Amino acid sequence: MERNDGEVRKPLKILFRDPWAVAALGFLGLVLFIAAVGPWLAPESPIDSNLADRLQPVGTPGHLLGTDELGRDVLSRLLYGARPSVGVGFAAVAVAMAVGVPLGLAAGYFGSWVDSLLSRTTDVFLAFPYVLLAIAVIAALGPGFYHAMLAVAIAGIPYYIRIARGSALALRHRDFVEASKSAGASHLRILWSHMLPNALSPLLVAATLDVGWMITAAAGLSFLGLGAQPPMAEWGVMLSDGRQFVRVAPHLTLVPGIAIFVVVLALNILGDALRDVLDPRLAGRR
Amino acid sequence: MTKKKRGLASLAMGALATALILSGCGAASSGQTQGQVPGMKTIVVGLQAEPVTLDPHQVTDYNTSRTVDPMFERLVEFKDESTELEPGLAESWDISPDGLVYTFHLRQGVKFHDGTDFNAEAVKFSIDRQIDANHPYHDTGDFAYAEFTFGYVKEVRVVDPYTVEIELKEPYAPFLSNLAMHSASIVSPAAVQKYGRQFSQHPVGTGPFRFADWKSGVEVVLEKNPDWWKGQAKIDRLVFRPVIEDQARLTELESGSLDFIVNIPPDELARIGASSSYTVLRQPGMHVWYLIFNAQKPPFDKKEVRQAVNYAINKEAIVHDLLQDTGVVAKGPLPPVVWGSTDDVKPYPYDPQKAKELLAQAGYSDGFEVTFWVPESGSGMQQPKAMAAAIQSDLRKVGIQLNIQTFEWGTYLDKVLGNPADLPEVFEMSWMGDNGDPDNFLYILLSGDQWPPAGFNMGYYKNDQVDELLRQAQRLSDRGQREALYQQALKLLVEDAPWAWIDHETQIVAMKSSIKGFKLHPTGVFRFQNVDLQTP
Repeated sequence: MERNDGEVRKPLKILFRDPWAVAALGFLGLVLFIAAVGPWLAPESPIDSNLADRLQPVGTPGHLLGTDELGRDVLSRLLYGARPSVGVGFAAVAVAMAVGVPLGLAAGYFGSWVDSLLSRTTDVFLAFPYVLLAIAVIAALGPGFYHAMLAVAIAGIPYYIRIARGSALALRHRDFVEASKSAGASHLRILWSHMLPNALSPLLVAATLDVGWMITAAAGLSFLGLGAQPPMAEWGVMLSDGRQFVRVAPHLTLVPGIAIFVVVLALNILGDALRDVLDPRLAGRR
Repeated sequence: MTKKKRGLASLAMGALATALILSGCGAASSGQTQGQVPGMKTIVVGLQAEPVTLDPHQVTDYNTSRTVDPMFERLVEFKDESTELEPGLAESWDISPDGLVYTFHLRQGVKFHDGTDFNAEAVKFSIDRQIDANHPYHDTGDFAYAEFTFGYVKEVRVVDPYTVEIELKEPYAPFLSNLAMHSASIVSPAAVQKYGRQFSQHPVGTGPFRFADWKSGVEVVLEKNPDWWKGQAKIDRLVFRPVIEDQARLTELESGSLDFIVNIPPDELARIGASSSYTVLRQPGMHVWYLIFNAQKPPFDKKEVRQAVNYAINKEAIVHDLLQDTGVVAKGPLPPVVWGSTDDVKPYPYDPQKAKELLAQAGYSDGFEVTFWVPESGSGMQQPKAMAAAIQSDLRKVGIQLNIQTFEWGTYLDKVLGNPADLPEVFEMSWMGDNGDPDNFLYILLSGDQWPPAGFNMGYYKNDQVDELLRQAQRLSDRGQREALYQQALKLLVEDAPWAWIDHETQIVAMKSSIKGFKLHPTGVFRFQNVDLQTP
């Protein structure tokens, strides 16, 4: 093993020296907290309509962020929406990694026909625009929030195959791998104990950046009506429904739009910072 | 009429792609459009979507009918602002006492845009092309409306060049009104022979405007017909442009690239109406927006449950607040502007308590959970998603859990007209009348004979008593007698509640105030022949 505790602690230390990264991390912590407890914080039900009170502006007493076209409290919808909207990014990345990483490692480690087969399949998938791929998945499964999550996860798989394969290719002839092999370790053991831990850094960076992308993609699908269904409070849906009222009630698009923007921005800042500390090519610049 | 039947899946994908591409830039800013030309009086109309075809016999939706209508005429026409009939290409007509033979005396000296003569042969050609499977030009299109319009026609006979006889299989009172519909437009036989299926891109009629150009996805351009038998239109050119987003269409009106738009977002109406730069016209529409209950499946096979939903929805709030009074609350399936309508029907005020009682009576005191299909958008659907969410919220209060599934409009229509076994328990629909006859609402939408694919009774509802009344009313020619039968049927239907009717949409258009003399028509077509443009 080339890993030791010092190597993990050092990057973390460097990371905490970057104020932007700290701010992003803190903000994401807050978002995750809201995602966890949002429903208890929300002042009102996010789905019960009250047509007499519709399209109230930001700052209306009782409705801090105003109300939407059905008179629902926007703040409550924002808080309830955090879990599906942000969660979808993490869940989709987890699914994509769970499928993509083993396949990619196997492709890089075994090489030959396994690699050719997996790599060419990946190429085919990468040639599809994700929206088209996602629409195909939705067409097969029907619209719905979980299907949209699955769709963006599937669209993300090739990305992880590529990264994991690259790492495995670089590692397969390293001394510690060869040593393990000659000591009689099984393929599975080598993949699990040597390949995976050493491929984690680039995967972690990719995943952090990708969560933001997945959130945007899922919101995009919801925006197109292929994702979350009414009355679910989801930021992409809120954005899409609010667009019709952009003139009379701009807060309906601004509030969820800013929420998505800030979360994705924080994830990107964090991802960049992680790359800076983990990428060996940038080591000299620290 | 508004329901498209065919070719919609492909259109849907196209529309989606177009929406993605156009949402940023807008069709009109692409630089290659024709727009205003100096010295030419032009009106640019913003529609919701591109026409599907320019063949009047294949019209099934508003965007198509509005583009096609200025180019064509029919034997009889609706009068301005009403569905009463007046002579069109026929100067006069006689109906045999048994109601079976209609004889039309045609106007002489009328020419098609291609210079050929309008005559009795052209009338026979225009009808036979749609209904006679052996007609040499039957395969030049898909005629979704042929069955409804000409289903009772036995034969069309040319008596002399300017006299034509149409014989029916059995008396059918609404027939003359049907002859004023798009499907009864008279087309140039020479043009159909020349272009075949491509006639849909090279339309030739006798109307006040003739076809000039169609840039797919961008615009359709019509120019005035200098030889129109009624004189010349006052404007030189008519341009129809698809702008899918309501908000974008309004912005283009305000930025000046459109002169005339449909479907103004309700919440913007007050602002636009208050401006002296624009004229907003409203007219009660021949329209109804409703939830269809699947009559073949529990729980909506029970009358009490259907009635309960009608009590549980706060229709007043939906119409007044959500739709900003751009419609009137519906008391039944028939709009009040159509004759045969009556207020003497069972009322369904907003009463959640009563709804709960009815549900308990039907054995659903704990409520139930069902699937609810909703389209993303669609002509006549007003605000389908917001209305669905409001209904969902109302019904949750009486214990009915609706699980909404939304679909793109084309996919949606394919699904609701598809396999009845796949239908959910409840779904949204709307209907716009074609000819002002109650038959065009009650029979086609609620008769047991009109289950898809024959008609549009999409909830597979059947009530023998109503069916009998509706059939009887078709055979009578006296309007008073027919009216009594329709009112009777209406009472039974409202009591039985095969739908939850929500509202009748008001037709609303906005235009630059320089457009003078425009009048809305109940059928939703736009008549520009008498419209003038005031030059500033």
